[in-house]
Amino acid sequence: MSAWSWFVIGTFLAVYGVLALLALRRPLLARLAFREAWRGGLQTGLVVAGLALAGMGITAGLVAADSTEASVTQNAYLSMGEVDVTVTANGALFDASVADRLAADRNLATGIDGVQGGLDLVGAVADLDQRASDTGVRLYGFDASRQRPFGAFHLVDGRRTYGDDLPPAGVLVSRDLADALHAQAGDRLRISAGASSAEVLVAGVVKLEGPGAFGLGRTLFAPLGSIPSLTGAGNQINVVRLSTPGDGLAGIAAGRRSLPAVREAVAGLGVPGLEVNEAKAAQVRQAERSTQSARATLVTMSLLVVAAAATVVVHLTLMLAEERRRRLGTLRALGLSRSGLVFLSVLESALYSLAGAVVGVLPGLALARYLGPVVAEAGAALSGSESTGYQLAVRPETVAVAVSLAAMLTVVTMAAAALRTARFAISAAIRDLPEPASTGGRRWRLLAAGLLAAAGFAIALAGGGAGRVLGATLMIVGATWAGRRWIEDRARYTLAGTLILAWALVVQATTPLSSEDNAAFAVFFVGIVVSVFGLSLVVAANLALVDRFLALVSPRLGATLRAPVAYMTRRPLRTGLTTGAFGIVLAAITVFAVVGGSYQPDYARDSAGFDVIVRSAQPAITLSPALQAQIARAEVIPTRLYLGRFLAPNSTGYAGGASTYVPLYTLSEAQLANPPLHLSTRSQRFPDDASVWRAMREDPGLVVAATTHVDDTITMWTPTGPVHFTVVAQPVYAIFNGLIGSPRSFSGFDLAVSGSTLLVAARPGVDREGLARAIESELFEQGVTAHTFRSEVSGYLAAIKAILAVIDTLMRLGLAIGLLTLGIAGLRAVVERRRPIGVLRALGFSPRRVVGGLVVEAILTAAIGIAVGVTAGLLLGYLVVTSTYNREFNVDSGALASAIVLVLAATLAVTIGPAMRASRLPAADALRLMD
Amino acid sequence: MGGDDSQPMVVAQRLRKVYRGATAVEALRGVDLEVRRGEMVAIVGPSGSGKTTLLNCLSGLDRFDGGRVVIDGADLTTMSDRDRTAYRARNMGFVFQAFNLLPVLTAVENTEIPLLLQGVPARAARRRAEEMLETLGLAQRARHRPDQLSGGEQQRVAVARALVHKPAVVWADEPTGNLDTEVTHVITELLVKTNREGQTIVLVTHNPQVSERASRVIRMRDGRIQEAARAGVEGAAT
Repeated sequence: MSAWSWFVIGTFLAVYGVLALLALRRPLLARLAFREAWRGGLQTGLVVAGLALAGMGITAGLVAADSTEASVTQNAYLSMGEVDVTVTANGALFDASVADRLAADRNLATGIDGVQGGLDLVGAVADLDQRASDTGVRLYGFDASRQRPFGAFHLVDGRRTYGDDLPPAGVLVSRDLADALHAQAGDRLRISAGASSAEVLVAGVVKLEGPGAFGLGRTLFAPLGSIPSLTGAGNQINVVRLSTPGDGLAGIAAGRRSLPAVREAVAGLGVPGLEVNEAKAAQVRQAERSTQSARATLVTMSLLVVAAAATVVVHLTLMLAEERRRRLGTLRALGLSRSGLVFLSVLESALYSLAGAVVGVLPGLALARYLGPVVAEAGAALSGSESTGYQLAVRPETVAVAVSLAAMLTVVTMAAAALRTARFAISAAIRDLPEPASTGGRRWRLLAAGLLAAAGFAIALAGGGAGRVLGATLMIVGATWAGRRWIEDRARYTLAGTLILAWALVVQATTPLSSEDNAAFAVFFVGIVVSVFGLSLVVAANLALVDRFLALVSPRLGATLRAPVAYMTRRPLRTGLTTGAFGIVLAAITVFAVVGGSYQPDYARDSAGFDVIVRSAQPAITLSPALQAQIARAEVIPTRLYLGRFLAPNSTGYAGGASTYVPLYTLSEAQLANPPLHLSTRSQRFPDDASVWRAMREDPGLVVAATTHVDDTITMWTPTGPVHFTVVAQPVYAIFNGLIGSPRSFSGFDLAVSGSTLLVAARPGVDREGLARAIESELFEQGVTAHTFRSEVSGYLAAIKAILAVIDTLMRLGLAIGLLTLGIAGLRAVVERRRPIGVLRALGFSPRRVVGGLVVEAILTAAIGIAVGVTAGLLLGYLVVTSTYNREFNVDSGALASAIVLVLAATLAVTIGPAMRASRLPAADALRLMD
Repeated sequence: MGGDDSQPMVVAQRLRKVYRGATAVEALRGVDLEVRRGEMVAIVGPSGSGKTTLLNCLSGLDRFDGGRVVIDGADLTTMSDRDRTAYRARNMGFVFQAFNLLPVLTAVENTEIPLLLQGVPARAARRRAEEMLETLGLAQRARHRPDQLSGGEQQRVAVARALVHKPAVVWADEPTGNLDTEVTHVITELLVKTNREGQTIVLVTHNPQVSERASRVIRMRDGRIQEAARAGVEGAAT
């Protein structure tokens, strides 16, 4: 269990432990708190439902993140099978006798189960019988005579083989490759890897088990003897695979223990350039790293749901405090201390929070089961790899953390609110009279404001981007509080809100999501909450304008709406809490509607005018005159098919580890001057795309990479040692699923398979799909694939949309919480405003007016929340898409409009019932005093 | 106001009201009552005698189980809830023990509510509300919310709200119940002054300091009117 988990669970236990202890020591208060919660009936149900939604969100987020990590890690184990350690020459071929000599080394006999020489390449495969081809296929050459320690291949027809019983030139293909080629047993295949090629026969299709899981996708498994042209008549290999005893973590540990002996044995061979790799461990590490981004996204979104839920509890606390003021005043008169009153409130909300958190676990697990596969599928699609299934990982400590977070955050927030609500004049409360105006306390206020500002300053100094946002916000709040006597309220709140919003935007603009994942997501999370808070302050301070507007529109309408609107406009804290709940969630929805909208395809721009992308594992692509006649323009990009060790700290794409496939697109000087692709995200060092390309011409260490964050450093290996690249930009869409650099960037990768990429612009009137099919049909024997940009972009966009849908689902939970807040507020209005409603009815308000007023109040509150959230979301979204993704600002108005309509319609639905109930309240009953 | 001066302003005949719960409680047991135009009637009696219930039934706030109530010639018995509501808005004003100002509205906003309900244009309503507050000595407090006013000031705002639309009757339920002696005196004198200007007022009170200033005192016990006090006062009591 991580330190973070210990901290969260420990704090939860401490908080609830203290509450339990106090409850035991003060049984009267405990009984009161239980009774108040129990007596709440429907209201308690709604509050617990709201908090359960928060619990559900956080459980789903954390469990989905765990499950994604577990699935990806499990896949890494699956992919490596029994191979724990490898010996390579960083892509160079070496003599097959190396494997024999290591296998014969007595020093390795105890720690090593099996040794075999092999070939690990990437290339293209064409099915000559089905006339279909595929590029980027992993070629797994193995020594059939030494395969037993590495396990048998499981064929889909139920047979098992170690490869030694395959017919001459017989190979096995993975199910994914067979599907891509429509291949069947007996088909003739042509393998192309740079200038080399080989013809083989399909001997069987393997399942994703044992060694057949290698590569987890489109892989061809060939006994070394079946591909002599690629192995120098079987004498050349580029990898020695070693298996150690044990599976999973035990295998990794055994591999690590064997390393010294293996290194010694390799050194004793006297073959230069050989390196020993902890292959499985590296693969697993990289897998774990690759899910950090997904975890950060899921946790951030879940916390936003919890933040929305926290506002529900605080809102309820304020309402209950007002509603119960008379009996709380009586308790105070009878001798209950103010701290006792705070304890009473906190204990009651702790009961709600705990119940909500526990109730939310099971639905959260169900939601995780739904969300997880979507995340896994989308992640695989974005990185260009195959999705290999998803396993729900429910770890007890994760569930405990989810329950702790959900139960604790609201209690902590509530305690702060209870401190405020426990302050009242006892005599006024008992007689249900208005609270007398507060006098004095100025010194205390200044002291508290100073402490708040000082805490903010400390947080700003210590806490990175998120700390800067939060710290500055606290400082502004402190200053605003301190300035109560000197500046008029409206001006003070407007100024404070504007400053808070502006600062949050400034920090967001200077902390793109492309920097360190967790820090950037923390800024994003805090930025949303703080922006909404700032904007809510501005709006709340100026709500009186709504009053004036209504009075001008119609006196009768003004009379009907005057009181309800006044409740909204003159209780800015309570209004702010409801609008804040909506605002936070709608801001997040809006940001992602902007991201989604900005990812709307602009094929003409994003394809740089090209229509078809042709990929080949051979250095040249030659088209027939008939095809050339249909082509207006073509650009060839030499593409090295790198396969080897790859290290990128925040890679979200490549499987990573010791054997990673990365295409290296080499742009010529002319292409760097006039690039055939557009950039998406670029480092903030560069003011525009042109400056990026210029820098790349001058510095070979700079590259554009599709699935690695900008400013990250990538390390790859050539036979002469490691090469480091700095990622300066990402291309539009992940069509170029590797690195893009200058000729000098990739000059050390001569040994990688030499392929090519051809970008084709069709002549006007030529059918793009038809042209792609014609190219593939004509060149399939060379293993060429051709796709239209449109089809590739659509697949990529579908993956983006899937991820946005996951976020949207979590945010809808937040919306549901906001709606519950309104429902609760409506229900409480009947009780809390019993007497004011009675007064209004006495003064001549008809039931219809009462209904209208309450409904309008709820709709206006929701509308303000929507306005605040959408405005903050548009501002943040603008910064995200323009500064982080370098895309044009666009909004997926459909997604946004559907959320807004849903909120307004649901607001009406949840408010109308309580409003009708309130309108039926007999005036005399509402006003009745003791006779 | 207006109407035929010879007609009584409030007429209640055989008024009955039963609260039905675990055990039914007959709060009014056939009350007959007349209040003349321009009268100030104080209803007194011990707790539970039915004073407030009577006031609520007379003012149309509460339904009753038997009998008849006629206000300024309009029979509340036959009115729908909607009509009764509209009638209240036009013809009645209320003052309550707990002031019952809307806490979120300022003094002037509370005062102008009855005018706005009658469709008086916003500016005119505001002007009349301000004038009323000025009359009651509250001009400087017009922009203050209830929690910024003293108890006496709040009750004066409540009186202003009750009078601003010139209702036929003002109903006051323990209008000084939450006030100290000095402020009670101020509010009582205000009601008396208003009554002298022709306003019909019916109030419920425990306070002799208030009831002795009324033109007639009606004493209640166990849901019945026991006696009409004060020598020379006209009126009927059963």
